[in-house]
Amino acid sequence: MPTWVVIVIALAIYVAVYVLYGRKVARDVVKVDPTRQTPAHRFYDGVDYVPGKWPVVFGHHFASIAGAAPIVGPIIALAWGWLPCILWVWLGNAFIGAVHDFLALMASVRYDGKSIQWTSGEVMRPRVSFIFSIFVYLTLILVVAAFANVLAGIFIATPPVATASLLFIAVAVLIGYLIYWKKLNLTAMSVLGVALMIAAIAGSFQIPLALTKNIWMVIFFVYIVVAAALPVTILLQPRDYLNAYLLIAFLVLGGIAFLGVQASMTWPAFTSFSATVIGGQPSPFWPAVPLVIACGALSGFHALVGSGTTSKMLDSEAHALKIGYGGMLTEGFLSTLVIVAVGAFGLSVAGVTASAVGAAGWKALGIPVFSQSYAIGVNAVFGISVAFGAVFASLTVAAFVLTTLDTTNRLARFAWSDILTRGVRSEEARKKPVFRFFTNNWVASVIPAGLGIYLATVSGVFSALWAAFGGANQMLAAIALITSSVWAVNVMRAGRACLVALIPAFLLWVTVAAAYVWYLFTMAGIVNPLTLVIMGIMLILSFYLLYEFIRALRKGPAKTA
Amino acid sequence: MMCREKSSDSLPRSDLMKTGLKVIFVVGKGGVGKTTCAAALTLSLSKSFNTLIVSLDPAHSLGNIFGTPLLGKTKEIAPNLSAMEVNMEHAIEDYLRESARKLRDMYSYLKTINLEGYLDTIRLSPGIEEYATLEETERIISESEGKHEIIVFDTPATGLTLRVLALPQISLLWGEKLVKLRKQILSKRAVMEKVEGERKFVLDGKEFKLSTTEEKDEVMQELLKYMRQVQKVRELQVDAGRCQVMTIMNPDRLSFFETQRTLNILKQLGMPIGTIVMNKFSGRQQELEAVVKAEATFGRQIIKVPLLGTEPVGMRPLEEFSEYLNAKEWLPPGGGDN
Amino acid sequence: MKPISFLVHFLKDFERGIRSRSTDYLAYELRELENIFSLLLLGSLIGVPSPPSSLSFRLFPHMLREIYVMGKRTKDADDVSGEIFGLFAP
Repeated sequence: MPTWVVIVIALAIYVAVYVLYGRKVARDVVKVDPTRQTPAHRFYDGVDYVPGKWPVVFGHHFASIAGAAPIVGPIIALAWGWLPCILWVWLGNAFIGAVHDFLALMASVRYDGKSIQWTSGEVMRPRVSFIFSIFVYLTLILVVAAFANVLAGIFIATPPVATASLLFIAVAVLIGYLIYWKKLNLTAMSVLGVALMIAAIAGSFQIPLALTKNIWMVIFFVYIVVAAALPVTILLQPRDYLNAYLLIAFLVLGGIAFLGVQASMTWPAFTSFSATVIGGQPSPFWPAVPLVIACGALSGFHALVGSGTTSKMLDSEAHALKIGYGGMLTEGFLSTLVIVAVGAFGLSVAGVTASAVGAAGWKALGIPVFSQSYAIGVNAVFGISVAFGAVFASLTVAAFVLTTLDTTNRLARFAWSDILTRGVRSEEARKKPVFRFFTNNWVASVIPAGLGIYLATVSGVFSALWAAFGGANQMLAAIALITSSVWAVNVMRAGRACLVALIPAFLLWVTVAAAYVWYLFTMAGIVNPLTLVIMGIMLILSFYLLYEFIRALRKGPAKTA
Repeated sequence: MMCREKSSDSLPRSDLMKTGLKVIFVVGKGGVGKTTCAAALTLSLSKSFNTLIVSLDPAHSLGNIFGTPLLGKTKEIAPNLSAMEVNMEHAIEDYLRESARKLRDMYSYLKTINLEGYLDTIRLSPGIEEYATLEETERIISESEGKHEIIVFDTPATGLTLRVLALPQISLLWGEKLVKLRKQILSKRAVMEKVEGERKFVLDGKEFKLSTTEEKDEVMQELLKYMRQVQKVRELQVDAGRCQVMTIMNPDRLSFFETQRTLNILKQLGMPIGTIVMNKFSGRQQELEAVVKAEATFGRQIIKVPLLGTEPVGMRPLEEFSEYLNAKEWLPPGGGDN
Repeated sequence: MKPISFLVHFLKDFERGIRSRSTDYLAYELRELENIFSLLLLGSLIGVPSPPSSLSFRLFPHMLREIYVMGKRTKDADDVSGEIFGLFAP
């Protein structure tokens, strides 16, 4: 099938689903009311609560949810064949993922901009909010582990990317200095930043940085702890900003390239139901696919973004569908591009035959295969050298990973202290040196970084660690979707229309629980026991979550109107 | 009358050399004879300088000593000699009322709060007495410029006195920290303004510009103004040419240790330590040893004042009592007879 | 051409939205500093070690924005994680 056909179908499906399904959810479940004041208006203060035009809010939201995950996941999942993956990216996104994002956003808007975590405590019990924190924290450790692994894989396979990434950090620090300390013009500095990045990519070929995995892990550990301690204007803020431009270029080039390129999907459309995907083991498509393709189809972190910042910028409830639902569909489109790129050129790049894909002994593909495929497509349409394009694509992914590692640690520090102060209530206990030790900022920073890097170092199998992260992410999404469903049923009292939330919520819970069970049994000898312990804890907590879910539904709406 | 010591060259000469208003703080534990010594000192000084004695001591014994009521306002009780007892109750009341007024202005846009109830609570708040005392002291000093040449402060209990004297330094430390924090805030706001354009803070439909530079920031200007004021007090306080502390002690061990502690703290504050007077000295052997020990520890000769048969109350007895202080010997030059 | 101009405007605004992230973290830090500033000065009124209350009284009338932030922060104290999780999301 020609690649452009796949892309056009993707666009068609997303548009159709938005119009036919999304609007239904907005109208019947959420009962969107354009006349109702959003938090941005109710709390308008000209500084922090400022409503924005919907494309602006859309850009902000999209840049916040975009990351490396919608790229990495599909690449691994392609072992099942490109068709099942793309169906999950299209339909899973449309009926579960985008609904999840949209509902979380709207619930937050209705609750004065409170987060989905707060809402979970509000519509169920306060205890659920506490459990949410624990889930987040455990997920963060797995994020560090999985992403550090991804990054090491990229750096080892393509040393120029390592150099480019380090140069990129230097560029970010410089641009940050010029913008935030010297206060030079933002547009000019953005242009300068982009120019320097191009130069960095070009220059990276001259000085490739080839190191071993263990050395990279040590470097990552130091990087995480140091970066998360720096003031935000030094590195985090400017790099996060420049990342966004990398992403735009990446999307625009990729989108046009693969629409225009004369190529076909040579990758097998379907290999087998239990192809070798995760950890070198036969992995049943259901329930395992959400473990691999998280962002792109469904991601719990999107609920946090939507309910944390986006809800405070919304000008009108009528925009929420475009931004929450539409934003997720757009990310699905990004994953579609990834699948198309590898689908067209992956076989030749990886040097494998169609029959080897997903068969016994199959090793999961890494980013470099994707980057190369992407570069071939871009080269065919724009003439940019394949080597340059590949480094560019890998750099985009690496840049996001570097930011993720940084923000994850800051978040983990906070979640950690949140859990400790909520879990340890008595003054007696809080005075103990043990408590003081664990609430120390440096300790709180080193623990998740240390555990994550440790897992990344000892877990030999890349795909298995990625699946653990994916599973945790899906579990977060399940909590968010459960919360939204309870809100829809008990607070919005949307009646039968709630099924659009309830059915995905239940299905998701069942799928993820089954996936966890499968994982615990199948990966027992393959991954580090610590990973299994973390997954086990989450599985147990998820059963408790189901109990709270059912309890809240049975309790029904509050008696008073 | 062996207690009547003649001055010698080794007595510390007062360094109160600078022109302009000079301030002497008389400190000591309650009951050592602090107010009496302060009154006597003032009497001696008034022979050569226009002197004001201010009692901050809530015991209100100054009026008794001079034999005339002194509460409230300054009274000229002899040529070149004025006296006043501060009514601390009123001073605190004034301080609180002024604070309440500022609060009322500020809270105009928030819900009104029961200010009376609030006042009753913060009256007992830690520090209120210290702030009010310091403000009263500052007020008296600035109002005395041009009217008097020397102010003698009869201080309240040592603990309170030391805390009051420490206030300027503490205030400056806090001020510096707040200035630093404020600079950070202004700097970040400036960046945001550069990137996002000017933003106005909106509340209840009213727009307020958020200041981004020190010059336009009212908070910063107020902070700097405050620090300049405090700095002036601080400079006075450590200037040996304009400020001295006179310590009164008794010849017992408790008094010795208490005095030692007080002097250490005063040293840390950088305050010039002047004469040390050992009051109620009876000449016994162990007391003589106490004097020797004190002189060795505190590094200066100690003026011994005898334990009198009757308390010196009234002008004449005070005159006689003041002889013992030998104030003339360590008076600042440029005054009357010597 | 309406669709073209719509697209152009959309892309411009989209880029503005992305650009607005260039100050998100900074804005968060600024709010925290303003909050701390207020708390430090308020402490003197509730017996917490802090600057002399006379300083607090003198500064308060000029600190509308800072006190507002402190009030808002206090109101949102049960959901601080919301803002942080959204801002620092991986």
